[in-house]
Amino acid sequence: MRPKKFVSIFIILSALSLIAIASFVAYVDPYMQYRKGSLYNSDGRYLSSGIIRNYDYNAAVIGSSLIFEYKTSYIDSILGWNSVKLSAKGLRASEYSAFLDFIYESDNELENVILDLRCFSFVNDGNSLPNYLYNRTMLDDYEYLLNVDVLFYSLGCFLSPNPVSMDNLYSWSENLPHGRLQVEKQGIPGFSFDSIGLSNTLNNQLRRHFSNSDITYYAVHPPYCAYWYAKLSDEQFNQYLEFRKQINIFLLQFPNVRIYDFQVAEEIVTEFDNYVDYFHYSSDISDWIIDQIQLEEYRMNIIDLDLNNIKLSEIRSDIIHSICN
Amino acid sequence: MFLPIVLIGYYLFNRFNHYEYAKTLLVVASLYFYAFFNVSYLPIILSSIVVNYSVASMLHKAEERIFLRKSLLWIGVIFNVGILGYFKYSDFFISNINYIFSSEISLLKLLLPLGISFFTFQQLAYVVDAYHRKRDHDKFLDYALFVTFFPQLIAGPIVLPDEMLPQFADENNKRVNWDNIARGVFLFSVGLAKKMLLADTLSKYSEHGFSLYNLSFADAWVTSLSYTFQLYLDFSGYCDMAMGIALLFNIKLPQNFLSPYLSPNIQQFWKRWHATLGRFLTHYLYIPLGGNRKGPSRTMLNLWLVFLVSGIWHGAGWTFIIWGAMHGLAIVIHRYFSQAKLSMPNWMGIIITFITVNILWVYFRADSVEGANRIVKSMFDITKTGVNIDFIAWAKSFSYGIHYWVLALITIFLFPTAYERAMNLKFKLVTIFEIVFYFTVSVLFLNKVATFLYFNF
Repeated sequence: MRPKKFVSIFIILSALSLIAIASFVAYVDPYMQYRKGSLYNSDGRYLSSGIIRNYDYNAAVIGSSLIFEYKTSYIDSILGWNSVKLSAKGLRASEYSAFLDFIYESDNELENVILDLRCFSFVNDGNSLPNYLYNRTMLDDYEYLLNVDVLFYSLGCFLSPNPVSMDNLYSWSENLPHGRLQVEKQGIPGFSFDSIGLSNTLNNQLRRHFSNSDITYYAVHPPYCAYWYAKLSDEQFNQYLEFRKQINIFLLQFPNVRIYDFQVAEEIVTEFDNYVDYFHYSSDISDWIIDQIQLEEYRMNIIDLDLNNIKLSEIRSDIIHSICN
Repeated sequence: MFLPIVLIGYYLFNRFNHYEYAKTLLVVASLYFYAFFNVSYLPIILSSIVVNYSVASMLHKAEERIFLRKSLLWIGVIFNVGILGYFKYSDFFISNINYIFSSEISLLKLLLPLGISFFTFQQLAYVVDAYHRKRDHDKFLDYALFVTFFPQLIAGPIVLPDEMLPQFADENNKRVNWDNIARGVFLFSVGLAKKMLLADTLSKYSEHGFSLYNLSFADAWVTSLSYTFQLYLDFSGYCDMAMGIALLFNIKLPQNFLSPYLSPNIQQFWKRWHATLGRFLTHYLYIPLGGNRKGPSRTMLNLWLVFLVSGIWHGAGWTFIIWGAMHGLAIVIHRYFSQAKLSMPNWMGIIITFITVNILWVYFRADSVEGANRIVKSMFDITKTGVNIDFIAWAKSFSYGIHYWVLALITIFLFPTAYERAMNLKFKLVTIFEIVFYFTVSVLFLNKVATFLYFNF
């Protein structure tokens, strides 16, 4: 074979291979970049883009794995919304912000948002979203269509489709054992934060969203298992209280932001059977949170700023005392 | 689209005998390529080109004025070493001063211009060659092309004026040569696959291992071996790609890797690993230091110094200095053994050399000397049993599984180098399928890609 023919065949075959792969991914479209399709459990950082683009909604639940067990059907029935779940493992404040920005570009008029105030999402901020999924240009779609991870995910969806409902999307802990044994065997994630870093995150990433008074935010302090506080050192716990204070002071500036502090819900956070680890609670608790929001229970106001921190300290003291005994 | 546009433009200009336009296009494209990574790098490389070319021009004009010639040589050497030292070693120097004198001098935190070690060495070679009157005076455009030629601008190979400038001038190289293009495409595809498919996959193991504080015996070996293989596949993959792209322009770059992990001794290793750096240091450091002309002890010292400089060149840190010094020591020991006519079976030499190199790469990669010591200690502590669970899980996974290790081992130890294969290429359909596979899979892996390791040197 002549070298010129060798090169020509190489170019043609390479182009055909890439076109075939891109066409297959576009056909399956597992992350719904081109049309609304079935929901497949996957990384929420990838999947949320398609949900934001293609679903009709006026409310969103945005947060980390702590909202994985939230059921949008339950939220809609209790609060009268039409919601979607936008969640990913360890989702962080900048990613919350990016989701909201992308929602504004969609045809949906957002009215209500439940926002997960998981502490690590704010103190370890960052953005790992695949940017090529979060824009309207098609110029970077090759990153989606010619991506080994997306290709294999598409193959999985194509060969053994296992679609899930929005309620069950990301659900993982339902069949896991709950209880003290599960909680105690976890490692101990400590806590520390940098006040300036948190302030930058809140001001740079979230202020402009909260300033839009057309949207009501329901900012939820998730009910961590109280055992975690007991495992924190005094210094770490005091840092955590300071974190809460700083974020609450920031949020209380905005009349359209309602803070719900479920960390002081003693009957929930001291009951080990509600938890699979320090942080993740059962779907019953997720439903309970929605009930409380509807009932306006555990809503924080300026007077609760210190009171709730004192209450949390008492919960910690009690659980330390009970462990010692 | 960058490459096809430049390639078509280059041959179109040459087709109509606009040779200077063709070269100008290559220089402009190369500078664009360089600025693409960070536009603030551009003034640095441009000023470096202008100063070095001016010094070389003055050297040509200085003719027999010995003092002036020596002064100009020193200006050239000090400028190049100075620019490298300023950008690369300032903070290392300051932090050591702070440590020794308990001072608090602020670090400069300078952004290291990409490929500065490479283009500075090439220009240093040009100035020294001008001093030794090895070349006639070149036009500025030719010189700029020699420094900036984009396939090898960022991470080598380190080319010399005598092997590049005649190729740029050769009229035969200005016409489309399908034979070279086919070989170039082959080299590029193989290099791309080595980088994307293998090096970046193995990096998952090494990065995780080096980030852990406590490693078991098995973990330490998995970590060091994954880095040893990753580094070779990454850097040689890059060089294959660079040689492949250069061949599209009918330019032959020197080979940088000749199956180095099959070297029977450390001296051979350094002839086969990053060969163009070894060549540069031999010509422009070892020989000027006296080489082997000043007696056995001085020869040993010179050898050791060359490797110490190599360590310093690779990075600003004690880990690199230790790495270079240890390689120098290994070379000196090998020299003693050779002179004493002591030998060993080839296979034993290969194993000992590989293990030595593997251990020393730990210092090359580790964030601190303590970190490197910890890993090396674990590599010899069989009482530290157990395996990090992640390694086992990854080895079973498709994305990072054991099959990548098998492919890496075959590529490194059993296959001839990509360059050898390209030069003996049979233009068959099966070869096309092979490189279409490499190319397609690499494109799919592109979205996982990390940076090339040697871009940072």
